[in-house]
Amino acid sequence: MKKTKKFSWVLSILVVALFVTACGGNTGSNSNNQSSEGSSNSAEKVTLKFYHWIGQEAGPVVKEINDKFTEKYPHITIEFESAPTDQFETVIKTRLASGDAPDLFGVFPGTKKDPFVEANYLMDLSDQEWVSRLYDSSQSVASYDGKVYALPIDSNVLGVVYNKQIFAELGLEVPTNWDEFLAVSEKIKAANITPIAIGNKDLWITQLIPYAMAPTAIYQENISFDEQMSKGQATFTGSPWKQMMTDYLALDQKGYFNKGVLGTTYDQTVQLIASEKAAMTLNGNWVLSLIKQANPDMDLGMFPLPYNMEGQDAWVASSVGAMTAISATTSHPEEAKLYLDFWASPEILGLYAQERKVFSPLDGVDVDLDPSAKEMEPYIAKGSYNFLDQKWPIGVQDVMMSEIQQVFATGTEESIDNMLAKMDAAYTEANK
Amino acid sequence: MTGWRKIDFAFVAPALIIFVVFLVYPVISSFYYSFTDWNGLNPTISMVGVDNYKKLSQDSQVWNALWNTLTFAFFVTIFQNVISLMLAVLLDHVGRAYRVLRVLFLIPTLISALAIGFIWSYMYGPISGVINTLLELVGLQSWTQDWLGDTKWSMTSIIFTNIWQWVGFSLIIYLAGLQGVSSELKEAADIDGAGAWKKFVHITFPLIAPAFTINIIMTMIGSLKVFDIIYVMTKGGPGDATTSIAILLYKQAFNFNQMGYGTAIAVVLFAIILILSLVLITYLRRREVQS
Repeated sequence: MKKTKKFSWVLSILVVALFVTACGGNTGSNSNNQSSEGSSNSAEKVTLKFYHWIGQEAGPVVKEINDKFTEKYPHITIEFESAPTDQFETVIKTRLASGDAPDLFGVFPGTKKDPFVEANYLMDLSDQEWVSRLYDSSQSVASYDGKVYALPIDSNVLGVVYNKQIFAELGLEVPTNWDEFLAVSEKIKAANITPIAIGNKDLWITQLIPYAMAPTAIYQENISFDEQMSKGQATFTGSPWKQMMTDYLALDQKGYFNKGVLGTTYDQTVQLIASEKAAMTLNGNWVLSLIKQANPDMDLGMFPLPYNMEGQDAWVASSVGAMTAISATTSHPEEAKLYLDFWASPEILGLYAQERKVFSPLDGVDVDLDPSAKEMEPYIAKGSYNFLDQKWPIGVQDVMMSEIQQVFATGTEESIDNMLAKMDAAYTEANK
Repeated sequence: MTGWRKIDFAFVAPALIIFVVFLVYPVISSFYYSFTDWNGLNPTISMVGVDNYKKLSQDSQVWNALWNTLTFAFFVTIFQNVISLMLAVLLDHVGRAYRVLRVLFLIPTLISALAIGFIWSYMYGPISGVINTLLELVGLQSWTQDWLGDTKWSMTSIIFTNIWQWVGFSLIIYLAGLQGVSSELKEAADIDGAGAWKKFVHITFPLIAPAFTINIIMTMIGSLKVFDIIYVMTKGGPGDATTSIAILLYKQAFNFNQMGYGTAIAVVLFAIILILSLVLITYLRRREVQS
């Protein structure tokens, strides 16, 4: 009996020990990078942890960039980790709050990054060389209180992606004002093809059409609308928003959207376009590569949503989509800055933009754009404005997206008034 | 073997440590955070007393989510138990085949809610979803709906999927209970001339009271906490038509950066589940003793 008792003790201690190590988590081992000899490196080996959401679509090109970086700076290795956007948002907040900040991580452009700055999680990068090469609009969404806190790595534009072949077969021309747009949709509907594929089941899709309308409807005439709102001098209620939402809803009620727009997802709309069951969709240039992956032979074009009257210009919604920041508490600030410098170089940023089919937020970068996306370039030059949430206090965007779904569910004018009232309430509440 | 020997502590220690660290501590700190205005990000926090609780009692979103959650819990608890009980009774009569059948019913419970949610979301798709496509094939075009995008149907569709997933679980508990009912009692009732329904109501059902208690309590608690299946299928949408309390508190805590407010809602949910469980357990236990 004594022997088994001793054995039981040993066994139970082993079990506890096993549990403790298993739950201890990963102690990152950075001593596994004893790479090839050759040059005598007096610099200590450094591993930078890089956490972002771009890996989903840009995984291969990020790996290429990281490999090129290590070629240039052999003593620095990059450990890249990615997660889908929603998951990334919650995880990064938890990691920062618990003191487990990665050296480099993704941040959202505009006001969404402000809580991070206010909590002192981001390093001030205003003195970096690439800041002077940023376009004004890119710099403004990366700044807080006049200081730059992140490197924007892409710039995107919203527009109508369309199937050129269907247009040619039906003898249609690219519409240049709202009436022409409605007429084109009517003709496509008559040919038993879905005119516009929209996936409003996914919350982030609901905001795209208002974002595409607003620059033409509001900011072209009054570019300081957002400043006025933040001072309490303007509200959503009583602004062109009501007309925008009415016209948005009308597209569905006229049958120009796919049936069951609230039950359709982003992925399903990509399928609809790729399988040529729908002729147009409204989205950002990032959708082009997805559609072409599904159907490489498609002839796609892109034009700005012509929410203008005849004779007026259409402004486009154009914004930075992703930025990278350095943790204020990193133990390798110099190496992290080297990494961002590397990304911001014309050669590397050009490579990234080309692979991702996005525009560059920095001046002087030659991007051999996808020809369909290139069609939007002249319009961006004419006039553009940010994606609206980048200037709003936190929470307004979530209310807007949920309320748009509500508007489409009920389809009444009252629901639109309700939506604008709730957005105003959320704005005032968060702006306090 | 009575009393704890020193060795017993060593065996219990691993599970106890995990339980305290990952369950007890977070629950207690939730109570603490519900009295603060923490935004989930800042290292500095300030206490705001019962402000969060006052706010949520007047928040129409909270009442809406409460209504959605109670509706969901009500229909899931009733229908899941009725269906699984009927299936259990049927399976009890098919002889040895029940072993295979109960495994088949159990399979959905082994799949993650994420996978189930995705599969059913695709099936419910308004244009290319399996359900609508089949309806159109047999000429029932007018029966097609936007199962998840139409507020008339979204909650019903999710309830249906949830019941589909968990019916097997309640089923095996009822089956186990039924197999404890001695066939002599049922034969005696046959001799006395009792019909199938009377046999069930007066003999079988009272005797499976323990299984009934367990199933009702478990389905009720589980459905009041519902988060993952709804989040995957509609994220609480369209609008807030399917937003449950758990989804609301998640959005408040993470999307609106209001961790303090979110935890207050979580505490309220905890209180509701606790009260309902205690009431139900007391009532059902008394039923058990009586029979």
